[in-house]
Amino acid sequence: MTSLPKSTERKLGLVIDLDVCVGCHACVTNCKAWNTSGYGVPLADESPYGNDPSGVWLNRIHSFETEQNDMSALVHFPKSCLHCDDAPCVTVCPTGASYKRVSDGIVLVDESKCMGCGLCAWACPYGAREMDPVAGVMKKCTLCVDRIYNENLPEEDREPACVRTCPTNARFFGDLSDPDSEVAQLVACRESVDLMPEQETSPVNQYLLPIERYGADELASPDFNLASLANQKSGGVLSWIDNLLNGN
Amino acid sequence: MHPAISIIVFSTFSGVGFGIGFWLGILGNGIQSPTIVIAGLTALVWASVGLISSVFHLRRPTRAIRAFSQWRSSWLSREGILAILTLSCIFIYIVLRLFNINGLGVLIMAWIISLLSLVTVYSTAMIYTQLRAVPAWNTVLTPLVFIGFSLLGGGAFCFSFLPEFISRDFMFVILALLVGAWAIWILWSWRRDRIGMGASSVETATQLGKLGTVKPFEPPHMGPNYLTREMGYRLPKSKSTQSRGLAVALGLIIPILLYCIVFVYQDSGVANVSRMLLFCFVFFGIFISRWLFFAESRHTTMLYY
Repeated sequence: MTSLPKSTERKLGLVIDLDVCVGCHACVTNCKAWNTSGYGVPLADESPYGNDPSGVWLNRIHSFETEQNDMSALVHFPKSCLHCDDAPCVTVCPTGASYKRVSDGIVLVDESKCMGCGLCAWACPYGAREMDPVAGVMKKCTLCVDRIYNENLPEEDREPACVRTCPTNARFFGDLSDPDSEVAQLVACRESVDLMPEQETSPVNQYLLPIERYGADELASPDFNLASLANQKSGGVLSWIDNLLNGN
Repeated sequence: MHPAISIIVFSTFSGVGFGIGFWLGILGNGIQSPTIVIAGLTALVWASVGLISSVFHLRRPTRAIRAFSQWRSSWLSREGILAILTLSCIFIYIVLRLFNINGLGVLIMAWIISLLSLVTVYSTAMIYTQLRAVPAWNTVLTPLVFIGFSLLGGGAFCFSFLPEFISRDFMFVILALLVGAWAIWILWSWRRDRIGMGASSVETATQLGKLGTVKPFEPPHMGPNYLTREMGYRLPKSKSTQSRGLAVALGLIIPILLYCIVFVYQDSGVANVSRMLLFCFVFFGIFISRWLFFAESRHTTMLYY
């Protein structure tokens, strides 16, 4: 049934640290690699090469520029299914292909039931679902359900492909309903956010905001500029080496 | 949103079909059986063309039968079930009338057809209305637009091609529907222009607002993808203005002129031609407005692009 469960026993999900992500796309690549060969039908590429490449991806990295008081920052922003508690994509499904699991809260598509109407992709405010152009069924992040419970894999590999591969440790996987879990502790000690809370989807995945290194007062001060940070005067031996290397 | 032709045909044709169904139920008991059979068959054909067209939107049409299973949560599922139920009732009704079976049961059945037709069109509209991710659709005005155009389309069809339906009262109902349905559409368009992405913005989508103004720096991939093709359709401003003008001109202004000709030159050749043309123009207008309903509505996913 495409009715949502009242509550789930666990809330498996991701915590993504926007302070750490460098936008290397390793998680995107490993997600594609695992999911094209793992659970369900392969993730199709309509046109992998050439001038107009196009394909299905379950995880995409956007980049945003923020600007305040002439200070700009580049924030790399990985985006995949948030496994919402109030997932609008599930309830709109007419065939019963979409469902949210009571045992762990993962939102999945039963590809043998999907008729490819695409309404769930319209219902998702985040763009987490993509139609497979070859198989004609909806694809989405499965939280690597075929890895996390897979006893044929070494224990350290039993986490989503994106988390396993992230070289900067910007991605964490765990049970967000368990206050003792690593992910819950991260959420508690850092400023964590739901994406688009006004859409009332109650996302399980959490994003950790970039850490503010300078206070608002500091930023607003006329004396504050990045160049002054770069021109810090050093002294002693280091200063001597510095001058030597700069040919002064 | 990408204006898929299969979906536009689905909602406009089934809208007219169930609109005819509604008027058949309201007025049918006082009308002779040959006309009723023709009206009923026409309703069945229009609605069926719409429903068949919707199947062309599916990537796995052989699994379409599953779409009737999730009525507890899905408006699309409810729409499918209600459409089949309404069409079955219309079919049974015209068979009863064909054999001149008239009784209280048949009378009540006609009213049930009207009610079911309305509820079916309402559930068609709810498929779109329920989507918070498309703020332009997520309003009580959307079902009103669909129901207004359905009653207008069905009514105009009866007006143009089924003279037995026309009474003095019905003439005024048609005029009221013409003005009313298009007024709701214009109100809907006005709201759509103002609502934009609703409560959502690039700041709420990224939650980076406390770092200052946020703007997209680079997309995830060089080219378009399923999401940008499906949700990222943008109509150029000039084309938007033209299409809006065309919809109102074809669907409202010309039909009002034709209506005046019919009213003034009753029962003449000119009046008969004008009467038949009225539905054609109304339908073209509704069709373009439904195309705009998709083409001009924006999806919150595009805040990330």
